[in-house]
Amino acid sequence: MRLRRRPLRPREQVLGRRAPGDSFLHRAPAGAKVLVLALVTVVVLLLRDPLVGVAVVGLVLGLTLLARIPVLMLLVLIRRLWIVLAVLAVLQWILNDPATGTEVLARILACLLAAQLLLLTTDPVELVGVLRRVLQPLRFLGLRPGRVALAALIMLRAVPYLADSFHMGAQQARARGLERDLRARTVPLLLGAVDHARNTGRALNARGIEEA
Amino acid sequence: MTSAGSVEIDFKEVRVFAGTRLLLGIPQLQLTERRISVIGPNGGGKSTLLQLVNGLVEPTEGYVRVDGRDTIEEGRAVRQRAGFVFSNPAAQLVMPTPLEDVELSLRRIVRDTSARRSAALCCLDELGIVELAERSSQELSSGQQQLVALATVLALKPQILLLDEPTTLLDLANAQRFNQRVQRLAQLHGIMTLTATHDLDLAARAERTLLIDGGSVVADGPPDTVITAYRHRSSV
Amino acid sequence: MSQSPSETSHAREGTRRTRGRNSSQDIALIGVFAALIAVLAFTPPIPVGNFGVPITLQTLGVAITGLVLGPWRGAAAAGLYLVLGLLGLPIFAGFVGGFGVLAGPSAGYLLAFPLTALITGLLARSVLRRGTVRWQAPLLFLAALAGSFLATHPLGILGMSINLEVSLREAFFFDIVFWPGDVIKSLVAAGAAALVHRAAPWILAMR
Repeated sequence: MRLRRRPLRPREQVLGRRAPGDSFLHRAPAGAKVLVLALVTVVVLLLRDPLVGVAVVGLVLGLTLLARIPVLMLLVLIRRLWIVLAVLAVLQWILNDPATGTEVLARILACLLAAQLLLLTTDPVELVGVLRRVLQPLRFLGLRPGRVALAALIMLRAVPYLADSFHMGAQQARARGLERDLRARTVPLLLGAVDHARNTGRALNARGIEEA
Repeated sequence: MTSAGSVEIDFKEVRVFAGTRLLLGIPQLQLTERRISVIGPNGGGKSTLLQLVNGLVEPTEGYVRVDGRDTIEEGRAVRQRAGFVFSNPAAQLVMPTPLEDVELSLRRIVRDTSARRSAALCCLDELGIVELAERSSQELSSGQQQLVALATVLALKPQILLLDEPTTLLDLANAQRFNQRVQRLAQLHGIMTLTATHDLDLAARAERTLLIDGGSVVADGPPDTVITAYRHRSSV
Repeated sequence: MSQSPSETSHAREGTRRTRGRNSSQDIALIGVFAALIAVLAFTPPIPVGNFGVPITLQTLGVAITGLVLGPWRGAAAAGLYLVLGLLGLPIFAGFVGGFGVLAGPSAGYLLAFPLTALITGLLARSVLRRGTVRWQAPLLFLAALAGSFLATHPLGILGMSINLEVSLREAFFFDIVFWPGDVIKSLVAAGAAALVHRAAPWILAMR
């Protein structure tokens, strides 16, 4: 029997699955990984050379194998985005010469795969820590990193909660024959979000918490 | 044990409006009992009453005082004395693990990080959930999450515990466990509890019960008479 | 609907004492609305015609955020969404995340989001302050459309032109395919936002 594909995976899987294992990539500090990813992206974006793009794709695949991460988990990304990538390929074939087309595709693929590798080996909560450190220098502008971190943590918790309620709203809409009605699908989600925000804000107020 | 001095909550000429609608009007009310339950239909004003006590809702007119402190002018001090547990556990926890969440509560009063950690662990231990300390909050059941929410509040050693339908979203076993632990710790530390609930068995185990309906206190007194009055009002 | 009793009750509150701005509540709204944009972005993208950018509900989330939260909190929510996505959280359309998206065709659209929310929010706030309920939804629709056409589309076109190595003219023509969807999304956002402001007036009351 074929498994039906569900449009939204509920609960914590919504924010991506981590690859199993405890490799050097899993253990590396999230800040370092984000920094490397940023540098790689900048290099790929600036050099605009098909060889660089291809080299980065190779590097990402090599690291994946070294860290014993199932390559399929990396390539899921391509399966998810294949329509977009195919359209891009056709577009480049029509509008640009083959060299530019290869470069554009290699560049996009390299950057997306490198990001996917970070995602597979990093806990979302660690990224909030990175965000807080990134924002430290902006304190003199009046920005409070603790508040931003608190908002980010609330967001992480709200995503699975709202994804569930969106899923449920979609089912209710279907039950009423309104699955094509964008309003019927989004309004319950929005009201649920407002309610969740109010409850969260009240709880924070009651505890006297303004930053994390 | 009633070592901590008794607490007094004082309402005077209180009226709360939302726009033009009167949510709650309480001309005069004094609460001193250790265990108070608040019952009544949804939307009648139970929540508003509880939130007035720790200043989450401002009285449009009149004032509410906790031990002589105005809930608005000294809101922060009042909120430190009056902990609040809401019905939805998902909205009350923000940190990745229960331990960090309790530590977040303690951040303002315990500066030293290791002291803060041990105080947090101690608090989780008291509620019998120390083994959950490092688990991911998101993976806990709602019963466990609600106990963690209680821990984040009890960590501040409140004199009053405001419980707004805390077991509505829990199954029977979890609800009973939650209520037992609240009762045990409230007795142990001499904490006054003010519980809004639809669970009439729980409401009956108080010293005093308030029935709130249509924005005012319609009955006030010993639990059995007030609950009977509520049953009578609600019968169709 | 008569406005005077509510105004007097507010005045009473004002003369007596107010807690002032409630930053915990603001932080909760910002976090939850950033999550709302993410959840809407998760709905499967619908790529249309001969271009690379999928039509997603991502922009619906941004419009709603601006219309409901107003300019500053709206921009903060969209900014939080953008920054966390760039840092690597898979919250962009198609469960993509990381700086990698800056190389892709939708880079300009994503970077525009905070600005879109800001513009939409500024216009929405002035609409809601005037307070004529009858024209609220249509005016909010125009606010959403303005944010979209002053920020999202220009920056999106620029991004496509750079990343896909095509001329601005060509990028402009790819962008046109989004317009009908955008009008529909703005209509939905305006209707939903008007509803929220009626159901939960406290959101604006805090500002």
